[in-house]
Amino acid sequence: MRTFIINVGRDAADGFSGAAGGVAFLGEVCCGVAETLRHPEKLRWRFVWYYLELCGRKSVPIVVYICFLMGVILAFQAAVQLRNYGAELFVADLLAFSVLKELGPLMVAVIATGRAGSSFAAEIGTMKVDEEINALRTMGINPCRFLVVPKLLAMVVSLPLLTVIGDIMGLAGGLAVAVSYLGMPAGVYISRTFEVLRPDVLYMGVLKTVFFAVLITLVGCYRGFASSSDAQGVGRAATLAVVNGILAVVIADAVLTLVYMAWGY
Amino acid sequence: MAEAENIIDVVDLTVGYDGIRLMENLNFSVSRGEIFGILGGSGSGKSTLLKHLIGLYRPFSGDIRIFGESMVNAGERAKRDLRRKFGVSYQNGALFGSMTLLENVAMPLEEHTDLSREEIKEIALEKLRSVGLEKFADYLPAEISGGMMKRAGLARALALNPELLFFDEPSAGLDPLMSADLDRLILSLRDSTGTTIVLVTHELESIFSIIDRVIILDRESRGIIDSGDPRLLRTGSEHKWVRDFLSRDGMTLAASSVRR
Amino acid sequence: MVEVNKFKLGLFIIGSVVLLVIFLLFLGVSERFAPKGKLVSFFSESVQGLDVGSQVKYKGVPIGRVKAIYIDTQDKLIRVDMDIDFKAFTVSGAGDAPMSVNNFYEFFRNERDLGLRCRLDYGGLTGLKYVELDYFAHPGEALPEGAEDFAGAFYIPAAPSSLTNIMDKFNTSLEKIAAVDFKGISDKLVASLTDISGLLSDPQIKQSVARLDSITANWDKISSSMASGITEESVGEFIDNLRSTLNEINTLSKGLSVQVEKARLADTSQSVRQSAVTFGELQRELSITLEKLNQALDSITVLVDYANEDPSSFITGKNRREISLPDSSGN
Repeated sequence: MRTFIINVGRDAADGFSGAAGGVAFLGEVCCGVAETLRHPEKLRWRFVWYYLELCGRKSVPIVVYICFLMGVILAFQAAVQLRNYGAELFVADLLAFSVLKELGPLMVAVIATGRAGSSFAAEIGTMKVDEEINALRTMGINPCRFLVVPKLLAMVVSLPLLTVIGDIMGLAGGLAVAVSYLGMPAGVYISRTFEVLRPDVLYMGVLKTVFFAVLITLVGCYRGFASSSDAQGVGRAATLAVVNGILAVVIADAVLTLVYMAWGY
Repeated sequence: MAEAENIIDVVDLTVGYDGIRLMENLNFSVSRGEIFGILGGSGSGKSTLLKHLIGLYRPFSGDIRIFGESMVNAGERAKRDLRRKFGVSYQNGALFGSMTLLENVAMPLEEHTDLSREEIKEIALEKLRSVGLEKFADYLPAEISGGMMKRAGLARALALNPELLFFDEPSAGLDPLMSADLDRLILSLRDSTGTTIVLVTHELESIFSIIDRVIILDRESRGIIDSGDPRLLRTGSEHKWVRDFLSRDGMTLAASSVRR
Repeated sequence: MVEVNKFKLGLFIIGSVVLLVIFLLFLGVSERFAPKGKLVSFFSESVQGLDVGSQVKYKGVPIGRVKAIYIDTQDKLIRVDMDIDFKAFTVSGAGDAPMSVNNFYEFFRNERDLGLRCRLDYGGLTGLKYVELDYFAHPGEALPEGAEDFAGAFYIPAAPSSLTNIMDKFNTSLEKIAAVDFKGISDKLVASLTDISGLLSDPQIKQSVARLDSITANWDKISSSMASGITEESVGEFIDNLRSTLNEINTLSKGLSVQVEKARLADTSQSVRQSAVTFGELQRELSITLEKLNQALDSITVLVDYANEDPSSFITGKNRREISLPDSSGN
């Protein structure tokens, strides 16, 4: 019993210090962003391009595959059910809304967490092992400004762009099922899709991914900074970046859905 | 007057990390133009003390004054200004793997000066030349040897012409020839520019060839067990461990490492 | 640092931005900025199923969307604002040019005079509604009082939806039926017949009277259990049937009273005999009429049961009987 209480106390203390570390990290990132805004010439664009390439351009194939297949699976399941009621055309409605509102942004965020979040954590963790972070600090450079801001910028740009691609591929997956399995003319499906969709649906879905991008980057980088200075520590940091990143994205998605509902979307 | 000449003053400093106190009530100072060594067995807290001196860790108590300004009580901005006045050369160079040597050396200049791109490039090349690496300016750190990385790290530490330089194990992992090269470089740096140098090391070669004064840390007594000219301490120290440490040959070094 | 392939990176950024723009164009962002014709209508019925963004169709052609729905607190009407896309119209003869703002209002003013009205219609099984514009009123039919244009929006009066129409007709019919003094007729008949029953103890008459009594008693129950939503034609037909039957009952009842009076006053064996003859005819006719009334009530019961079981059949137009009588197809 005594040990149990001690353990609870220790866990709570760890939790608090972890949370305090997270808050301190957030503060440092804010300072980094503010510094970058004050001195935009100090932003290393080469890093931004690099991360845009890593998180954006190189993620396109996987986003295309996964979102297309997700559209196919969803449309197929919907078609099997809706066919019973002779309402196959509503596959278009279902796909249009679920892909643009939820699944497109969420899938892209999950892919980005796996690709970018883990690589951020591993990169920063390795830099920590090699004392590069300390070197930055002793050079009087805010590591967040140097390491986090370019990643943040690249992610905030690339994730919405990837989401547009993912959305279109998801709808294309639905179209493929509608044409091949349901024998629906492509034109009917497409016109139904654009008939039920409003631009707001796309905006709101894409806007979500801006939040996701910030969360994935922050979680990934924080895990890197918090990693212990050994090879296993870096590995753990990469794993935690993915696990915590996905959790953060799903929680944020739930919160954003509520906020959107409150706004009337 | 002698007080004014002190570059570093350490007063009643207690250091450690994760709640563990490694050293208690340290008091020492480093004067201008001196090559000062921090010695001790493995795990004695040399590197930890260095990290406190350069402001990476916050001490439990006590004060560190660098150029007369407190490092402990400084705000973020004051700390950053203070850090610009000294350079740190890390054990493995701590170069940024994604940037070439030239870019690495140019970075402090880009961050802290308003010089033009060409001027920065020129200074960076000059610093690389001073460590004998100007031919490797466009190489990535992964493409050069460990010794070269250390020298490149030194070039970066020198970029802003600091009055004070910290070295963390400068010759660890280098072959004796390379290590002697580096020692010569450090000595010439002090002699040509009057830079104050603080070294953390356990290389006997370096200790006797370049260091003017040392403090020797001991894990058990959590403090400085001896200080002074290493050449005198070798025979004159009242602590047997210090005499052993300073007079060991290759064999006793290994034995000492195992014992400690 | 791994060298960035600037070309591919640029391709990614430009490509996805272009995709975004095309996507948005398809989603009708351009329409948002295109000039719109504004229509407004007021509905007194529930607009359940109509939403902002619901379609507005002219004879089935999508021409715009519902922009806003409010409740007008003054007269408790529901105001529906609609945005009409000019691109849905072409002015033939003018090189198929899209409609201008002036054309738009001119067109709708003319068509409103010709009976153009808004009506809510079901878009499918989802229960979602759209606004249908069609000629639901007679040409030249007067507009409701105070019907003017609202802040640049052109007013199109609302026609009740087909369902509302049915409900209205049905309710009026029920009211008319209720207005018939069944109780009075029945009481009078019973009283008269009882008076002379000693004289004419014809079992057939007794039976008829008893039946009439029970029919009257059932009437209230039937009319109150009538569910909402019955097709216009079947109700109309039934009402006509019922009305003529009731008229016959009325006539009969009057005739009966006269005969009974006569029988009372002229208390001679001859007049009794004459009465008996006349009464025999009356009795036959009464019997036939009661039979008709009974049939009418039977059919109303069937109709009400049907409506209770499957109210949506009146909307979807599906005939339950076709489904429930499998052997009629010969299998």
